[in-house]
Amino acid sequence: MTAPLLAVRDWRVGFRAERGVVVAVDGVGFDLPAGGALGVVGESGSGKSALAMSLLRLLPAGGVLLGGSARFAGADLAAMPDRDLRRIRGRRIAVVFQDPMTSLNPYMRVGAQVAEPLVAHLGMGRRAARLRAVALLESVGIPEPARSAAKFPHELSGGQRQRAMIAMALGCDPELLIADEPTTALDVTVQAQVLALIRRERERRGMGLILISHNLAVVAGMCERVAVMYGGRMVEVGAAQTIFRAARHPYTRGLIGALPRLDDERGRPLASIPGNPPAAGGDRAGCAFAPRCPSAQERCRVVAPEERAAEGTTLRCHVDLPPMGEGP
Amino acid sequence: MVSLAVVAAVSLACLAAPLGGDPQRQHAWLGARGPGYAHPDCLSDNVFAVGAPAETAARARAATDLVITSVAAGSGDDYRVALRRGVIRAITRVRGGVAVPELDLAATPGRELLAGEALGGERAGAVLRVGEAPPAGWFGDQPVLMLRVNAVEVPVTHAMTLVDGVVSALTRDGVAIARASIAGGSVRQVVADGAALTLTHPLGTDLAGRDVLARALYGGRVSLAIGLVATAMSLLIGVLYGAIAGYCGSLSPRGGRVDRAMMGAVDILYAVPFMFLVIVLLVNFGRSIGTLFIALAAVQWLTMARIVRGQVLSLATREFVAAAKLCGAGHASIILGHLIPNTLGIVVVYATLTVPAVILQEGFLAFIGLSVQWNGEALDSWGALVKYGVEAIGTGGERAWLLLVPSILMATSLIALNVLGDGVRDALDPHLKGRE
Repeated sequence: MTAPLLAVRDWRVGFRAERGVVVAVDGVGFDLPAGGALGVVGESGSGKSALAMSLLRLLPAGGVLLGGSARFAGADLAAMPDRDLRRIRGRRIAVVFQDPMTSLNPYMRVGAQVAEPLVAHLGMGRRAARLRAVALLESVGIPEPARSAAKFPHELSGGQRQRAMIAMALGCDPELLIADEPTTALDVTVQAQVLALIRRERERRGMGLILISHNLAVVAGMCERVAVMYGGRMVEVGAAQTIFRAARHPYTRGLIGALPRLDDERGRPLASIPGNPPAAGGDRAGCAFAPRCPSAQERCRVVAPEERAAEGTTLRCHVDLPPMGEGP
Repeated sequence: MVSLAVVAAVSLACLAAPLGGDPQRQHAWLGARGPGYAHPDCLSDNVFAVGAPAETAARARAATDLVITSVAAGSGDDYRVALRRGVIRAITRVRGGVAVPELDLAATPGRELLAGEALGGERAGAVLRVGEAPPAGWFGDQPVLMLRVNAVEVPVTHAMTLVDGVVSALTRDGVAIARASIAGGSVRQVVADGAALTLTHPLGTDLAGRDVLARALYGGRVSLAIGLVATAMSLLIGVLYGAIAGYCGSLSPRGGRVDRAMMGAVDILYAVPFMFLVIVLLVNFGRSIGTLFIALAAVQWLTMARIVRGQVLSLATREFVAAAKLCGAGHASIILGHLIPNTLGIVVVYATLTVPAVILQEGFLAFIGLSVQWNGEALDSWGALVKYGVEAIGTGGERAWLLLVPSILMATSLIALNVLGDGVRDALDPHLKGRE
């Protein structure tokens, strides 16, 4: 087996609060092979965005890296000096943000923004970068790319803005694309188009993908591997098919059960997981999911489960559930 | 829209006021005349020489046939009348210093009276004799009276032919001469191509005979320049300072300390009573316009810095800043290229509101006597004109226009500038234009 493109070990991220540091990502580790795709699923506050942003040290004010390593093509992203990191950010690892409204500078023309990384990272001339930017806009399916390049972000629709954002991310031919909830702010139909665009570009370029989403179905359709995050930890990691068909973790099962289905009886109430996700920084004794877990046992509330391999997935759970479809 | 029109009109008028004219020039006649007063002095001191361009107003220069009637120089005499204990002690003709026993003003046609205060025409028929008391009210509380008495007003006619503004032929009372110099105050009539030119003073003149409209427009130029330059300086300092502080504040936690230190300095400066600061600066370092710019800008940038810092703090959390970092942008290019442009909407609005605020402050300084100077000469801004108007208005308000003209002009401009600020914000904010 070749060395992975990105190897994350014991990654811990926190945010400074009034009293101490609140841990948002608590000891996450995973490998991403070159060209592979990892989907990260979780509720709001599960730490999935903090994980994505912290990999490139783009945490907002107050965010701190507490420990761990992330070796990207051999070099540790956590330890390298800013100058080296700047050469990787946007060039070898690109990011697509959640809200295309705030991720494009409203006072810069779209073309100029798409051209900016080309000038900064690839050393292209302004004029060449402009032409390349138009070509990029065309390749991501923006109509009238030359005219759109001369527009300001607010003149484009939400989907077009996200396409422009993707064009900007793809400009330097990155080896890894981190997409942080790229479709959350978009209409459902536009979501599908944008996802198809990301999938197509990924296949064409053979680039790695980390797709952050709260939508299990989106992630399962896009990625070979899926990681489910809860309370800052990856509670279950496995092949997408396995996770979908034979999830072992009660939380993952809850998520799958909560997906609305077309063949549901009319009038059946939508399934949900009772309770609320844990407040960040709360008491961490035991499993974070235990208070909401239908299968929780006494030791779940006392001892945090360690990672263990179980039939195709890696999970953090004390309980051995029967295969899916055969009981709770 | 109305505000924009007013601002545009006032600024244009102020900027387009003829550069060559000199609103400070004291004309030969004295005393204040009300609005609409017509005086034929369309020329200041003019030199005409055959073969040279005529040094005169453009209207006259455009003619091909120009006739200027003036009063011959030297036809008047200035007399100095000295008073002691209510009795005339001596009457002296200034030219030659000759003492005369009496001065019969009734026998001197074409007289003009020169005094600290203009004398009414009905007093002109008096006879002044050494040893006698003068007519009541002539001297006021002053011990000396200056009188100009023109024995005869001899009209002199200069006629000339102009070709494209260049004098080609010149005669004086029908005799060809090569060169003539005509004092502005002596001109009585100008006929260009058969039509008499008159320059009126549509808003009257002040006590020194200066045109009030011209002075108000020049004053506006001074006021607007001070407003714009001080605002530009405060923009430059405040925006950069605020953006750097805000950006540092958005990078925790060492940057947060830089931010707190920078804004702490601003808070301390805020606590200094700024009018005193400005006055102390002006008094200590001279009332030059440069000092005033520095003094006003030193105060104005504080608010700007606070506004920009707040904006930047909130902008820095937006994802496009992270996107810019992904684009390989360094700190400087994030601040200059991404953060500052995004604060411009608010900055421009605040700047348009700073311009009238600075004009008002300068007006206040000028009103309390700290008007600015340029190369040692007074630069009379609107504030200085208002001050002059207050002093010259007269006990019964008979010269109200001297106060009203600059006051109304200043007030309208300030209101218009303030209203314009709101309009500019609406026009510049892309969110208001294209929100979905």
